[in-house]
Amino acid sequence: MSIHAAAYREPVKGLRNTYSTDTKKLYMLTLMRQMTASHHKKNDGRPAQERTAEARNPARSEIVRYVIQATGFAVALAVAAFPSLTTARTAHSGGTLNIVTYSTPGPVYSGPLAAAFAKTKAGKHVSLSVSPGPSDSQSQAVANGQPADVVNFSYAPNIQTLVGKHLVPKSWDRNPYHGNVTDSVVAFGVRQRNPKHIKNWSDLLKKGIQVLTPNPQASGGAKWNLLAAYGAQRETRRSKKQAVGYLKKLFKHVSVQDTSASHELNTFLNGTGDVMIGYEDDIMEAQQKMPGKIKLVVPKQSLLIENPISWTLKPAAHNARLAKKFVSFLYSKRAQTIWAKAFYWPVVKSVARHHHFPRPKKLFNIRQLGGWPKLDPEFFGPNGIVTKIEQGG
Amino acid sequence: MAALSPAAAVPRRGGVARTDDAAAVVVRGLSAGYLSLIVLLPLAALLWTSTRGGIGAVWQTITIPTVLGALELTVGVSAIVVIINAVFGTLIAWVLVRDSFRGKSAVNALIDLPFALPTIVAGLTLLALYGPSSPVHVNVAYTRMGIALALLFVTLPFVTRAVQPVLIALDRDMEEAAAVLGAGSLAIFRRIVLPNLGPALLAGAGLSFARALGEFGAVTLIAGNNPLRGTQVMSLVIFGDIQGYQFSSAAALSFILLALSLAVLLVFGRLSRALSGHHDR
Repeated sequence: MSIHAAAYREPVKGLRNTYSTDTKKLYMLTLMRQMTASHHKKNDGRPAQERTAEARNPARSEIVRYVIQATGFAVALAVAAFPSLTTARTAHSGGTLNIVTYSTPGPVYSGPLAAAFAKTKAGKHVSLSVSPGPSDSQSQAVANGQPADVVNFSYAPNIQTLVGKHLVPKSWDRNPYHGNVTDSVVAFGVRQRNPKHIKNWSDLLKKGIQVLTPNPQASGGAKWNLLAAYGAQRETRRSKKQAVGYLKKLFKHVSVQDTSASHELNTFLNGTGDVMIGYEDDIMEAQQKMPGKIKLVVPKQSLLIENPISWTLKPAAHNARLAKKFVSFLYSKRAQTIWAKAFYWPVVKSVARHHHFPRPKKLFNIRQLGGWPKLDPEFFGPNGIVTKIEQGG
Repeated sequence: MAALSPAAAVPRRGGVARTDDAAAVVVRGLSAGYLSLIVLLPLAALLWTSTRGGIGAVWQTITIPTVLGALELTVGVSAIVVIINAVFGTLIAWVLVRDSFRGKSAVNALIDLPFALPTIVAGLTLLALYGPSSPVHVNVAYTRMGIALALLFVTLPFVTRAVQPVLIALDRDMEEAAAVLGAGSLAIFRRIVLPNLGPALLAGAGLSFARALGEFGAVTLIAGNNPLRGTQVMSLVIFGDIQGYQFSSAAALSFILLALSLAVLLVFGRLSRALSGHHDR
């Protein structure tokens, strides 16, 4: 009843003196589609037909008026809400840089990097608008028109997609750092004190070991993990066939395939699995934030993770110059030190010298395995090696 | 709850509105416009995206072994969940209507909580309760059982809320008459109560089924998402495709899921109507 009463109250205010109380009641009854003869009899004892005929027109026009009012209100509301739906953030006096990044560096950008950039000459009064998310979908979002002045992904194919759409310069990787702003390595996270003695890739295949790695269909991080596993076999002089065989056996030990690396970390921290394969920076951060919950183990052979960055060609707020300045700031000593403190390997050698990270004895990179353009379709395409394994083949 | 009460439970009215009535035309136009804007247009867009590559592409997507497995799991687990909740949902409705006990209104309010709770929170709660660090030492996380549990949780209200009003309105004279004529309580339930509840029960079950087919939030945390262990439901395959920017595949799978839900709703709705029609005569 209360809903009907509220709907009824609003339009009636304006016509308090125009219509009789009975008309108002009738209006409400019309709304409820309960114009029954018995009800009117109860009201005033007059024959129902007479009352209905007398009241129909004012009551009906009342509905029309109400509907028009409601529509007007809805339109006004929509118009009022529209700006807040379309514009994400108002511009700062020095301009806004839109940074689209994969998940993990999000807090580093919006926290210490933003503060440090504001202290530079170029970054005065500049605000950073940081949008973190899964690398693949972030790349696709930019390709589909999401405003981005600077893009930072978890692996190079995501940037290559944008090069193909003329959103990122072809020469993006032509700097001393191959276009990468940070590095890391594929590593293991195990339980405190490593109760299952997991030290190397072969230990993952021991009986009863439960392994976590994200679903490669959904997560770029999973691709690094699986190529590290594959590459480690090749590095220890196994044939390609043997290395693929290793992957097949590894998948038998994978219990959960989360949709992202951060999901995977949560699953592990909540108590599932004996070992998770992941980024060294993620595991070190979790180690620091949740002491006693996870322990970093770096296998003897592992793959260098390289996180590419670029400014874009079609910047959102026509501040290409600022975007370029921001990217070169990220290679500065100060910015690279901030990355190092967030557990990423600095790519600038003079900074890297001062920060020691656990490293595998044998470190190989993606180019040594054949490079992304070849590996991505070969392993993760519709007929790729890993895709086939996932299908049970 | 009005939206949930099954169509079959509402008595039909003859001659709803006259076509020459201006107000009726305005109201009808507005509701049609609103429905188009909010529901039909997005669905049409989805249909358009998913069939852009042709029906062949959609077919190709379904026949991928991982997708087929996920489809099987989704339909199977949803069916089981619907059967369980049809039984227990009716039972709960029965207790709430026919029984009286202290705290009944509290229990009644509790039924709607699975609707009110964000489904992701439901998933998180279930994971905490029935996960690896379970206080009751039950670990079904990342298994099919976990998926079923999450779906049972979110679909509980449908049947109860559909059956409840019908049960309240049910004339007890019929049952008394049957009892006087010598029918046992089981026979009364089977021959009098159940046929009367049938349409509402089916309508509620249909909604449960459709909801279970597409549920994402509650299962995303508790499902293992592992095609090799059969713990990947359709909504998770679609989510994975979106994250991995396989949008055409995601759209094709969404289309399949949508068609399936529509078919379920149509079949259950038809059954429900047939049953109520039969009963009236």
